[in-house]
Amino acid sequence: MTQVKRLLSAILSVLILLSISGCWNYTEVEEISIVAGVAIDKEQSSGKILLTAETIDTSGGGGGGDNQASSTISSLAGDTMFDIVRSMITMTGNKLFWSHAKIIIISEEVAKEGVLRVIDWYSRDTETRSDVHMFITKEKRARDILNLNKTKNTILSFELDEMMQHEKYVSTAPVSDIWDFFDKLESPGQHSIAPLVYINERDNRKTERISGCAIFEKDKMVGTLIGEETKYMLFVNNKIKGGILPVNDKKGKPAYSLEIFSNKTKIKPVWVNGKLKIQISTETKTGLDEVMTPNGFPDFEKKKEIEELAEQQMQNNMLAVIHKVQKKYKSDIFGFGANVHMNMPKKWNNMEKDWDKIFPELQVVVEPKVIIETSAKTTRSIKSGD
Amino acid sequence: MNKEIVPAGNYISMIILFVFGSSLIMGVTGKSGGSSWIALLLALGLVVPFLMIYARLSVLFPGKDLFDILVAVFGKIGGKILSCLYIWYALHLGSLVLRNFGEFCRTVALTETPMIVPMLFVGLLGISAVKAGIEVMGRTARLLLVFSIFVIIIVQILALPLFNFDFLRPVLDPGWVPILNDTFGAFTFPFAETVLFLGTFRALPEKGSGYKILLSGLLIAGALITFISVRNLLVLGPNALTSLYFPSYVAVSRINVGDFLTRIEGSSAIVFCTSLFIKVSICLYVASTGMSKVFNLKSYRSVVLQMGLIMVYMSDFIFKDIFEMQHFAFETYRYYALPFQVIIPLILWIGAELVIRKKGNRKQKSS
Repeated sequence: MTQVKRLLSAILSVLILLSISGCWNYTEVEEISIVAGVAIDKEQSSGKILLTAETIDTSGGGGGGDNQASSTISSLAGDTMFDIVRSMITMTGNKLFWSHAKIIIISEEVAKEGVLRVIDWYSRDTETRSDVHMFITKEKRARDILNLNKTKNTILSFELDEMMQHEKYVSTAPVSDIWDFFDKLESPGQHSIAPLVYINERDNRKTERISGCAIFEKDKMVGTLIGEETKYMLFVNNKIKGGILPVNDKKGKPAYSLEIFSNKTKIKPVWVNGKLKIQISTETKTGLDEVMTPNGFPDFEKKKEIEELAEQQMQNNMLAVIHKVQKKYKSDIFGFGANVHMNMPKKWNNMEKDWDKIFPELQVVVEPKVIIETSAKTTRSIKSGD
Repeated sequence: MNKEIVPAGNYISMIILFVFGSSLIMGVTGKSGGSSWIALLLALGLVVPFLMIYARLSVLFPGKDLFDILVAVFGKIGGKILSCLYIWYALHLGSLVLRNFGEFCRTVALTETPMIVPMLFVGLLGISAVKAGIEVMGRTARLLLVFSIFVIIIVQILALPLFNFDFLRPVLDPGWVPILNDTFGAFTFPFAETVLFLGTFRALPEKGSGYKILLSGLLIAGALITFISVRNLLVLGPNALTSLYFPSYVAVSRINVGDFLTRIEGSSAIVFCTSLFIKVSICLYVASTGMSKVFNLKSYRSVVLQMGLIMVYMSDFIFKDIFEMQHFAFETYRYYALPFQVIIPLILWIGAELVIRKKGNRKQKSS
């Protein structure tokens, strides 16, 4: 009896050993295609969605020792995103693996028709992660950007991802992932933005470049802002973490560069004479890092003057961007509505329905404050010796 | 007669993990959005008087559990009928929790594994735990609780940079109706589910300790659940929160510390597994004890395996799909659970006071 028991338990242990090693659904890395990024176009002839995926080559460089990463591009058209994604197996031979995907590029054409139908799958499915960056491109075909990898021999999606990570030193494009996009889409009194990417061509050398942003109303793109405008829009949105603030001298010539150390923006809705007014105040701490004229900064007493110049120009630029968005695009990307909702919930209930009409007529006041904290290594501008 | 006693600390750990159970991963409140913390605190306040009632029962009938009390108060037949109802409730609750786990696995973790497999394994684990006895369960809970709280605190700290306190404003944005609605929901699931601990009162350490144990267990669990709900809210925002089946899981998946520490959502699943294991075990324990009491068995251990397997199988066929589960958990369950959590205990308590008083009078007369 004990022998039978022993035998049984021995067999059982061996069986358990087999099943707990976790090899049931084991997949070798060569058997999956790791997606780095995708581009979404509309196929001209049929009007279907055209998905282009950049997958990392896992076969390995082999010889040479220089382990240059490379990638493959494959495109397929279909009716729904998931349908295309699964059908990709017929081209790549492997199931696509999405956990490492970093970017989605959407062409302007698709974005204008509404992005929800192409990215809902991305936020819903469990294979994908919602922390990918979403770009809009004004190039004719979004896949052209991924196709740059042929000339550059790199993984383009990862490059774009790196650019996004260092975007905080430039602040000319919003940093957001599709999670933020959906969050803004669902919040009342707020519309989404997405960074723009385009191909920069000079002397026949093409590179990708991120600058500016696309403006959405609900999930449809309604317009764009260029990089410079985007910077001041980010000032309003309190999303500035760094970057350079160029300042002109009194004659309007570029003369100074202020490096932004930190910025704090406060938006306050107030009720004046039965009308809503938005008060924006910013406090920007900067360092004077470039003086382009000999007499631009003779000594520290000039500091006050430069600060005032910077404040004046910031005010003009911010108001210009706000007015442009108000009049031209009529889309509340600054979240003024959400702010009113937060601070005056009762008044907001009356306004929520008409907010799209109220927003373009809103009176906005901007009060920037620029503080120069240092002037880097030198105490004054360089004098030209006589 | 082997009398098992669980020390107070272990008992509290069991209660905390029991309350965590599936509520931690499913989220507790639905419609109140940015004001869900108010609903949670209200529910917590609401459940305290009922806990006093449960604890009072343990004082009136020291050393007895729910099924003994039912028989003592309502007589043999009435008591046994009500006992059957509670056996059903315990068994069904265990199935629901197992199903939550099954759906969770199918949705996010093991998408290609049949749902019954993870449920069966947790069920078997529960069976072996219940067979080992409630003392062992208490000690296990103590150990697992330390681990769970450690993970919860670490995740909480890592999530700090994602907090957006604007999501809390304006206070009372959805109005009182959804908040009270959620209060009711959070009261029945998970707080007042502690009624099942009536079935384990035989193992209470000493007379009168019920108050301290139940209250401290529930308050700690309630505080932690509020903590976690507020974290989910601050990370995800009220809009996204309502659209997710498993908000905790998604909230933790947003954590990204310097592009280095990412994808730690597995940790939230671990806390879920540990607390779920305790909850299933308690349900199974109560159902088995009830069974042994109703049929006058020598020991509850002889029915544990059968009950456990029924529980696992029931969890497989109880809902058709995740939509039904979600609907039942957040819409139907609150009404279904009300008699077990509020009505019967109330009647039981009043009846118990009367019975004890009568006994007391008789004693006085005879002496």
